[in-house]
Amino acid sequence: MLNRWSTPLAQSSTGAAHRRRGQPCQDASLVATVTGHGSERLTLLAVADGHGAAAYPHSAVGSALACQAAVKAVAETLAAAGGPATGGPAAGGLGTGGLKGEPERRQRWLEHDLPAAIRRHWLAGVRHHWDGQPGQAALPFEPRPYGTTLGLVLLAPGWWGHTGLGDWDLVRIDGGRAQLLSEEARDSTVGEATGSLSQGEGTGPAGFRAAWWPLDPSTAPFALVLATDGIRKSCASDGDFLALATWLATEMAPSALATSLERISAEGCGDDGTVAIAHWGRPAEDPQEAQPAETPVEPPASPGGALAIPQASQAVNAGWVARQPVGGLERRRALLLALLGGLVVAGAGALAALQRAFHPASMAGGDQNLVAEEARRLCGTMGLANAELRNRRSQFEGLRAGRLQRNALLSQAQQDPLGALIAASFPTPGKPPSQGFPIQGIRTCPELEGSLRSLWANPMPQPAQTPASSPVAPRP
Amino acid sequence: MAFPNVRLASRPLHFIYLCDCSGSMEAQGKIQSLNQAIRQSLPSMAAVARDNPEARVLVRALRFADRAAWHIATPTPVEELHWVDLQAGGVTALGEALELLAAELRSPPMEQRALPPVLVLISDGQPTDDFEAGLATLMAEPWARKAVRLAIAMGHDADGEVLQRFIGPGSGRDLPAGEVPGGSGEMPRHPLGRSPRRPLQASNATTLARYIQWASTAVVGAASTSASQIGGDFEGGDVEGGYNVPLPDLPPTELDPIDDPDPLKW
Repeated sequence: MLNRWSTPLAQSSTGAAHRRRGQPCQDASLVATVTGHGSERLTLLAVADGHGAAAYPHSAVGSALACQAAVKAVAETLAAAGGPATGGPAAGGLGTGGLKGEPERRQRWLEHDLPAAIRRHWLAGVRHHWDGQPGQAALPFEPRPYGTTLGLVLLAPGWWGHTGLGDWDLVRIDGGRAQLLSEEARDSTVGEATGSLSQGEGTGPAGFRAAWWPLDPSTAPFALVLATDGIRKSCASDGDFLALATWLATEMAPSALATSLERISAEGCGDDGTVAIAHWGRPAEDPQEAQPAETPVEPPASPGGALAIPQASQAVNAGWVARQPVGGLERRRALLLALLGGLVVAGAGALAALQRAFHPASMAGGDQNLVAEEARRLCGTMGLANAELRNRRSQFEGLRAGRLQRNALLSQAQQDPLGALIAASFPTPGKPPSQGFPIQGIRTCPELEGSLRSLWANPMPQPAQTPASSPVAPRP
Repeated sequence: MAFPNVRLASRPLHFIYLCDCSGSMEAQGKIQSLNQAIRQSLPSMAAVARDNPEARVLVRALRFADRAAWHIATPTPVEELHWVDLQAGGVTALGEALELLAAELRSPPMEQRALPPVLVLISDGQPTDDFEAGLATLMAEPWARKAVRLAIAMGHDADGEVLQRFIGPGSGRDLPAGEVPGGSGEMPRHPLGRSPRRPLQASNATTLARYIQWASTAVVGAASTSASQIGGDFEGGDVEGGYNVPLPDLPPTELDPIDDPDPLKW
């Protein structure tokens, strides 16, 4: 079956708070393609988030080892599947082409067999690291200091699925509509509790959540965004998180992922952030933008060889990022889709320009009412309002720096009335902040106007400086 | 393509005082000491908030006497907080205060992405209403169970058992009062029988000010940097002494031999 998956992408970035405190990035991620003895071929995206509390001093190692353990476990399964005589857990094949696999076997593999294999390899890896620590070999082995989450997405030509445990989030974007496919059930009693690979010793994997979906050549294009919790917790609402995931998957240039992650952390919760992105049926790729993904990344160094890719999986791609070929027929179809899409976008743009001509302020009457209502709300709670306004540092600074367009914010008053209010108060460049008032005829209160004037007159400091992010490959 | 118009935001950290304003607080200047201690702690609390920009520290206060009522009802950024003095008079409607608190810890209005809140109960007496019902209402709320719950007893008439029940059961790692540190073979995190998982005994204005300062700075700092942990570990009481948020060491007081003793007053 034709493989319509395009080049996946993954990146981890040290959180702003971690940088400030001199802590390492405890997130890890990788993209790898594993080929079995037969025709079976799986691409996997892994994200892992080492627990941050002091009881887990080796969680950065644990998260990196979790990603490697996932690759090894998948390779092991494919090796077994390629030789039915071995009678391995997936003997008879996983059906990566979507034709020969049994749905029940695949679900069982994702829910039980693969998690068990991942945990087995992860425990072996952390045990090896534990034994290598000075003075620790004599102590009884304890995996908890390596505690980490693990989220895994598997891409085959005929199906895709996910498995893993912990507080990662998986979003699917179909035609611009984002849907949260998988999230951890909230623990009602513990603030920052999550599932962990270090749990369930002796009882097998616990808490894994898994599912899979069939694919065929007619399946409409979609994108997947797999993220550690630092991304969602940096967003003011789940709506903002879904909008961010949509942008990451559909509009962001791949080369901008690292800086985007740094920004998300600096303006958000300060935690490490990791994102892995995959596309099914993407029309075309800009070769220049795809360049970083095409460059093979060195495989992560294995800790003392404990997690080196075994002989059975030598068919693992030399590079951790593998570019999938796009067939000629697909390319022609992609070009046609792109052309049609362009016409639609051009038409919409012309309509928007016409609307702007009739509404110089780029804000229809209904939108103006929404913004006025927002102003009334803020005036009623000025203590909170000041906090909310400062919380919009990204919009103030974005407008000031030209990264955000005033009209774009104004036109989104229904989704974000406060953003539209901020845009409406944006002073005319070159004129003092008082020039933006009164705000396009919107009645406010002196306290709110004073706060807005002050925020425009005094740039808000960034919470932290953010140097370069960590590489794609997990750290040893 | 330019970064999208999405709202990125620090996580709210709600810090809530529950202040006993019963008539007994009028005696020996206790209410004045409490007002003074909270007011003095605000600049340091604001500094901690500035040092942890990923958390947005929002302060509220609830007073209880004949009835319970919000003294500061709006979650207020600490740097904007102007403390208005509490007045004492009446009985001790702690149960009603806990019910009022419970209503504010529901989601909504509590944000799902908030950090575990910090709740500080300060009392010098015994509840005069249905404390059990209030506590049950409060603890039915997940955010109350997630919260860092601290209690300060002003003077020796405070009902330690009530305050302990507000905090919840202590961790096995805390030594009982009077036990010698190290006697069990393990150095406890909070020696000399003192623990933030027990009511903190403030017998004079100086000690009260130290505890308020500790709660509003060290605890806020710890709660601001709350990090992920394994749920099962917490339930087992093994992580950081079983605390939801690892609590910092207590400040020295006159109970510590290294400290200058202040005269007992309350």
